[in-house]
Amino acid sequence: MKPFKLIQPTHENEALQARSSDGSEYMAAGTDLLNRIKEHVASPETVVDLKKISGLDQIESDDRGIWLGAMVRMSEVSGHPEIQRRFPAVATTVGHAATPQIRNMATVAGNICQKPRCWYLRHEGYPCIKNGGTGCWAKDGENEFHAIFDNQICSATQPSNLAPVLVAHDAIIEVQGQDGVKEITAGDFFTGPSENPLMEVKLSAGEFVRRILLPAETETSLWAYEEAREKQSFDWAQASVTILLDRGGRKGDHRVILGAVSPAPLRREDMEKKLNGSDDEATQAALIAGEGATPLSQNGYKVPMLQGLIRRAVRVVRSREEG
Amino acid sequence: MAQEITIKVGFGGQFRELTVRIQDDDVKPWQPEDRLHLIGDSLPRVDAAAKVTGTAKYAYDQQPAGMIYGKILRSPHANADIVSIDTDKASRMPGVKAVLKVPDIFEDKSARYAGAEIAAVAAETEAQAEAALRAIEVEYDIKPHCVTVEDSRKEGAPQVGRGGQQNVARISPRMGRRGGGNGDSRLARQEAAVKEIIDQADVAVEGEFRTEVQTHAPLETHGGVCTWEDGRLIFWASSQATFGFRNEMTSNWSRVKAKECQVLSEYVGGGFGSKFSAGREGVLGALLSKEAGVPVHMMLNRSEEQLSAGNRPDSIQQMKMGVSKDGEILGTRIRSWGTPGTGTGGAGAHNDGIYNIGETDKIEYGVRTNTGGARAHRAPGWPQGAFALEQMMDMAAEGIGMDRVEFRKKNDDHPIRKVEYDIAKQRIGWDQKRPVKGPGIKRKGVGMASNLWFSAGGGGASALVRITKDGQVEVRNGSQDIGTGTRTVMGMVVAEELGLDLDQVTTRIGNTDDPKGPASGGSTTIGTVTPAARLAAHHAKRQLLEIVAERKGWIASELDLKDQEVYKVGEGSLNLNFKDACALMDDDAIEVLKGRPRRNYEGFSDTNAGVQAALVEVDEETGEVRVEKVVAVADAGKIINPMTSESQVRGGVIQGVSFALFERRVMDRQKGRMLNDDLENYKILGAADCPEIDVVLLDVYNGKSNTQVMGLGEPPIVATAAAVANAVSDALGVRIYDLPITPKKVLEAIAKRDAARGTSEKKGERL
Repeated sequence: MKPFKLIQPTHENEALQARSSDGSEYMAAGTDLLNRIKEHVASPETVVDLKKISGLDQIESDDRGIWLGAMVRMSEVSGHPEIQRRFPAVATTVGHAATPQIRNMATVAGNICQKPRCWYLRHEGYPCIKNGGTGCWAKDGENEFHAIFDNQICSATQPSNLAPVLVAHDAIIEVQGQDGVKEITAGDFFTGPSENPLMEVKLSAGEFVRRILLPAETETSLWAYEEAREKQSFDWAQASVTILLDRGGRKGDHRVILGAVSPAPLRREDMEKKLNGSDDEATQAALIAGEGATPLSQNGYKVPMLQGLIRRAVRVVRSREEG
Repeated sequence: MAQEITIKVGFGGQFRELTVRIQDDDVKPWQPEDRLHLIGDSLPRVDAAAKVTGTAKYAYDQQPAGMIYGKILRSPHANADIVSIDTDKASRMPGVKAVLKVPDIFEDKSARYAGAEIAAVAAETEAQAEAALRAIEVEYDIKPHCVTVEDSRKEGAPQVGRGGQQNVARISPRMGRRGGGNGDSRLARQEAAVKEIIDQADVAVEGEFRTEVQTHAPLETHGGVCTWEDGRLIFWASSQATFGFRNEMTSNWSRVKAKECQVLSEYVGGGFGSKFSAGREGVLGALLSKEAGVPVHMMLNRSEEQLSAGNRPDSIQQMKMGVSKDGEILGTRIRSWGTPGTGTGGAGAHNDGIYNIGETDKIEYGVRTNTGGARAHRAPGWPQGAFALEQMMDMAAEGIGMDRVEFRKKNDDHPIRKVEYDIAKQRIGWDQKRPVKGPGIKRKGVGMASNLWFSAGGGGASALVRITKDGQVEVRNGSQDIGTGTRTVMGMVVAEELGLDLDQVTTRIGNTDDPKGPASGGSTTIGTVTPAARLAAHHAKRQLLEIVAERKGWIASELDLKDQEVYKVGEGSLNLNFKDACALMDDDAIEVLKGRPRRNYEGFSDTNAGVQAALVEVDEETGEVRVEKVVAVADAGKIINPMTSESQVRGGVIQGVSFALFERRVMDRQKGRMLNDDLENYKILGAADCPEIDVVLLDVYNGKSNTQVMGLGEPPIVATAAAVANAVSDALGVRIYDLPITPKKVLEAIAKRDAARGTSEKKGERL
């Protein structure tokens, strides 16, 4: 690990100022950044710890919905009664991530800003388009866990468990920057490599996530989250499907978001249209799951895996409808 | 020099008498009718609280005054020769106290896997040592590499070794000179003979099976902390062979050549076969400490542990078996390949053991690759061999339409396993109906597989038992407890012999200044150490009773110790408790050092057995496999402590399920590096993946030594992956030939199955 200077501001302005120097990085709980520093794949001169900033660790609600402070722990979200009641998909999804120990430390902002788990990206000595080099080692290498959609430039997947469900809910990411606070919808916040291969989220230099809004107008009790992975204890999803039906009580306002199969959570409007309540809607949605997929040498299995997850997710969400 | 005694041998209430010759001063093995007050009780390990609360100090925890930190620079290249190493800059870095170049010490100028040691540094802090490593400039002559068996076997593949070393070498059978004639022509004759047997058999089955490289991944990494005191090296080592480690430091062929060395391994955080040698890290640690003149902490980090501290070789096993309609295996042909890293030894697979598999034609090849070297891994060669053999057993049984368990019984004559099959069958619910769960398709299946093991311990251990005038009892043996419960069990044996409770006996282990003990290999430690401990305790007791008899005017031969009292055999208490008896000594203490008999006695069986049955559920929509339950029927001679014995079995099953479903080393073929040199992407079973483990222990009066203990550390891992694979096949109706059984492979197998069944008409329904 390369030594770094640690700054622990207590106000947001101080944080912005501290981060303005070159070679600095923000840190929330550090469950991702510190590992990358130890493995020599990140080497910031300065680390700006956001945990001491007052007011960023609250869960509050107002008429727009529920606001998750950036520094709220994952375990606080999964165990929060109001979130469990109003946004059960969010509470459940967060509870699937990592391990209890990590969920007790890791923050929601850190979770959505973590770097991909691509084992080339996380190994020193594999320069690629994501870390300032060119190309993608996984395409001709070991790619069993990599993306099957939008994988031409880079095949790393978005690792956050929270990302797909935030996109499904049209969550608002509140971002603090030099120019003040702005709001970005989750669907725009998570980006693929064509936009900026160095980033997986829409944050400019010096910006940090302040809060996340779970909007009241997308509340629904008709939800499903299904994922597949090798291990039940501490593993990353190989594929996941998030379904929300009739968001905000609006008939037909559905979302189908695929996770762990593309660089950013993948909304599938074509599948949403299939969810019309017909007897074979699950089959119809599953049939088109692989459309647009460009599997690599080792990850073609993700298509049938998605198909299975979609069938299951549709069954689950319809069973909630029946009560 | 020997005495002849008659003992009972057997198990499960079925005993026969056997007249055996035992060493003159040895005691009779415990008999079924003996009333033992501790042996057979489930007692928590004596160091459980210390381990759980963190007061137990492992090698990693040692911090002698003035200690600095050693670190190793490793090659990033998979195959290279070292042209030059420039350490000038590094040696001038802040805090740096010593710098070593590996080629100077090991006379090896090649770096044949990514992770090979290049240089080492010791500095006052870990950060300084790491910074200094990065300042070392190395010039490499980089050569092409191959990191998989397939690549290495190809025509024109890059050479892994140096000089005339071929990538592929036949490792068995070895042709001795005594056989006479040409070895190759004998092999050819055998090949033809077996081919004919298989060709003429009623049914022939064949398959190619693959298992992956499994790293040991002990929680405590390799290495230790060492210091020199007047030419004497003191090494707190994470070792499973304290005496072997010491010899590596002191022997003439060692790189360290210490005049004297004391190795201390009071607590060891797992070894699984990878910690027999001091390794390069041990040698470098000792030499850095010598050069720096202060203690050095040299422990591998997790990446180094995964790269260079050993693994179970992978395997490709081609098997073909000819079977008669009535269930007899007539002949088996086996070819196997595996890579133990840059060498060729140790990559065999034991796929011809356990059952009678008829006339056999077996050839094994070791394949060099540019990967980290293999080391013995819990039952070396067995889990991968069983994975292939046991699937072949199921395939053969299915081929002739015979029940899978009956087929095994028919080709197995182990007296203990014959009983174990039925226990496993009954407890897993073998014959129950397992309905398919819908609407998502979840199928259950059961599978069975067997173990075999060989060890009742051996010579080479002594124990010192000391009884003091104030009634303290201590037993010492310098070997180590790598988690098997040796410390606890050794204390129990001594306490049993002296009629005491376990907490009245202090057990001291893991110190080479104490009497010699074995390396923890082959599951021999308890079987080797406990007969010595019992013998020493017995003779210490006799000496104490001589003193008591003399002082009290009793007859020593009529006395014994029980319930912390002296009693007269056949009559009862003499109202003299242990403490008061000890107070009758003139001297401060009785000390007895006794060596274990070099050879084991004739007994019930030279091998112990074991059968495991697994119940799995396979999710056909996601490909996920859950092992719901494993029944592990195990035997290991006389069970001293069922609790620690069960723990050994559970540990084996857990590691076996992990091998079956998760573990594999992933090599990047482009740069030749290991991609999952961590515990995140190198997946090991966690709590949520752990099946219910139903352990059944059979207590066998084996007669092989005075404690009759057989090995139990290794056998329970042999059968597990094989049983899981057979259960998955039972559930799916299609077999998966490769480990680990991942969702990817399950989904691919299902697709193949459905294509073969021609489910086109059902496609709409299934999708």
